[in-house]
Amino acid sequence: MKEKNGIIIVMVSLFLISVTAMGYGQQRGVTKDKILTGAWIAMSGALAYPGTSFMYATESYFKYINDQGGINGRKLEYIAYNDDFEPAESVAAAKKLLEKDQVFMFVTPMGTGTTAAVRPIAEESKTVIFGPGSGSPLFTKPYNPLFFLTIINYHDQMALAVDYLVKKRGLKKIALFGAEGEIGQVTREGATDRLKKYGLNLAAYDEARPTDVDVSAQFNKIRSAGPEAVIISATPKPATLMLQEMEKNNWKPVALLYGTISDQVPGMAKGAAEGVIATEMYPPPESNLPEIQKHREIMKKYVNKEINTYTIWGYINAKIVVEVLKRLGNNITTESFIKEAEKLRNWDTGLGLKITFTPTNHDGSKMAYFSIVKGGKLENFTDWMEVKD
Amino acid sequence: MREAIKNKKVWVGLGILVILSLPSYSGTYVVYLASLAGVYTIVSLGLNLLFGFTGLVSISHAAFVGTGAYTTAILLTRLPVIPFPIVLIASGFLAAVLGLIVGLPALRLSGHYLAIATLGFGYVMTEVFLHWERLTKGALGITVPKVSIGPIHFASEASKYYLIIVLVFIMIVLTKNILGSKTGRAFIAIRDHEIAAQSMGINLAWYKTISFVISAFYAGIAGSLYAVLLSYINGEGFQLGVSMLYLEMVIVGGMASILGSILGAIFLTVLPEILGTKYQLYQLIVQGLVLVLTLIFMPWGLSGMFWRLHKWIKGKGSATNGS
Repeated sequence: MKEKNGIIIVMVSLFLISVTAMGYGQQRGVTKDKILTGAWIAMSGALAYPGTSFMYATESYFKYINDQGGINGRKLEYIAYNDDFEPAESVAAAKKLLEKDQVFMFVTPMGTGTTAAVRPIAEESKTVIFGPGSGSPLFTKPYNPLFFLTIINYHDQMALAVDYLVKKRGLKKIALFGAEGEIGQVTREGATDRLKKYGLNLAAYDEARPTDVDVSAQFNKIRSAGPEAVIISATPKPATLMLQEMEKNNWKPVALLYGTISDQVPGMAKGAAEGVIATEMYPPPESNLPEIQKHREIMKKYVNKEINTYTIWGYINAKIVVEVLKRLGNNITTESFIKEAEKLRNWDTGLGLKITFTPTNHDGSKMAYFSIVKGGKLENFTDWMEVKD
Repeated sequence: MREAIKNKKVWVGLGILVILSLPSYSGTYVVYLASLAGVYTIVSLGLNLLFGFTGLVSISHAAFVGTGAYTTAILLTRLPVIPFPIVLIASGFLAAVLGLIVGLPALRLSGHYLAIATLGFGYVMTEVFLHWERLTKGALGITVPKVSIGPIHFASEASKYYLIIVLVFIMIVLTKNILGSKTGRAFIAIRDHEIAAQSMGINLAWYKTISFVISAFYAGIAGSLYAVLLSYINGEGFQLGVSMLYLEMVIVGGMASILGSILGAIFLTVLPEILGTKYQLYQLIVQGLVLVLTLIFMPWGLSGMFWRLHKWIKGKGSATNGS
């Protein structure tokens, strides 16, 4: 009897030890044949267009990689939950992804405020948030090892725009028309900071909501300051309305669109956008670059959707994630991912955009170029430019 | 056994047991959802007092919740010496003061006009949250420190859940007491027939304003708990769409019903779960459909359905006994 009890005790002990070892030795979200990733996305409401674009881009690229054999034999899985762009829902989605789905990392979740709400959870669970659909420097300044931005942030975009307008065009009175909320706040700070370097002040600032149907008050306020140039960091609809107000009133300052809206506004504003300068963070969807063609084909094949600016952004993020994971071999942990990503130096995305992460900087890109709207189309007139501090 | 099934106390006891033991058998995700439903229940209780019981509509409750949340976040970050219970009450009171201001037009307005006035207030507050950057940090938001009451620290998901559950319980008891008092009866009389209520000596101006103040106080308390639960706030959680969601909780749950406030809050919190990943793209459409269908086929909401079901089961039981 005693012998039997002894055997049972030994077996139970062995079982407990093995279970404990499994729990501690294994990285969450990485199994023998799978790597799980996830995101919170606005799939309904006013921001469903960028949200679902990010989602389809990530999903299609991961499916494409899986068809090529996956990441060293492991298939990539991507789970997205709708958060309606509401922070409380983003937190719920993040908790579900970590606890129920057991994801390894978050890939291209959407929004600044929503991602900021998830930050404490990501930090507590030591989970990487790669390429949030946001150009806010909030996540990378100061350096946070868990956050990676892949596009030039809003602050740096403003520096690039001001450099171009002041240094190349010799303009001194520059105004800003922004989007209400975080984008407006950050771009205003960015433009103000850069203008200070030249001993200048922002000539005027006003902003609009994404749903605004009239921006005549903002137009009058900005025009009354008499700026030579207006940088536009509003959402597509008010940005279009502003250009139409300029045309209607026959007022033609240099108008410069910030990166996120550069491919939508020329089409929406039609003739009113003629001659407008657009910041481009990566090539437009109409581009014939082989990498854009590839993205177009992948999107068509796996999710049957057209590409747009946001899908290209999501595609770049997914591509970098895959590159880093491939380099890791079988040692896939949060720490190893961060370490490997920080080895990327001028890594070519295939789009001309080069990505660099270092152990002290996770702003992957400081690059953009300018195009001009001619005959309703964007015509590139500068090379890739990099912001210098 | 059959007697035990019929006994209301047994069911209530079981319910309490399930609620209290939730963190022991659920993960933090479920506990978080339950906490969020608790926060929404408090908003819904307050809004039901105003909308369901007094008949006054408000499309600005997210602004009151935001006021409570920002009061908590600002006090905890700038004056950390203030104990949390005082911060919590201050959050409720500041929202109540705003409720008083919004309540004043209610003396002259009703129906659609009152709805539009409150809508305007909601927009004003959204702007305040976004643009009073020195105080609210604008769109970048505020990280809320962990709170404690004496030796109890509310850092874990479970501890926040228990804090919220206690507050939900207190607010339910408070609501029951208000409704049973002269004030509650005055609210109902105003909703049913203003002129008749006035002719009975009910001071319309006083009770309408009080209804707004109490409702905003509830929202302020909920806002404070929202800030503690999320540990981070910015203006995006207090937009017009969220106000509409609160209103929907009251309508779908059941107007003029405490149970309705609870059921509505729980239902709309778990709706994305019900939809699953496949149908989540249609979340807003489903939400809208639920609202329309409730108004057409189930005007007394989920609570009405619950009581009908309860009556039916009881009737069936007695019929069985009779036979």
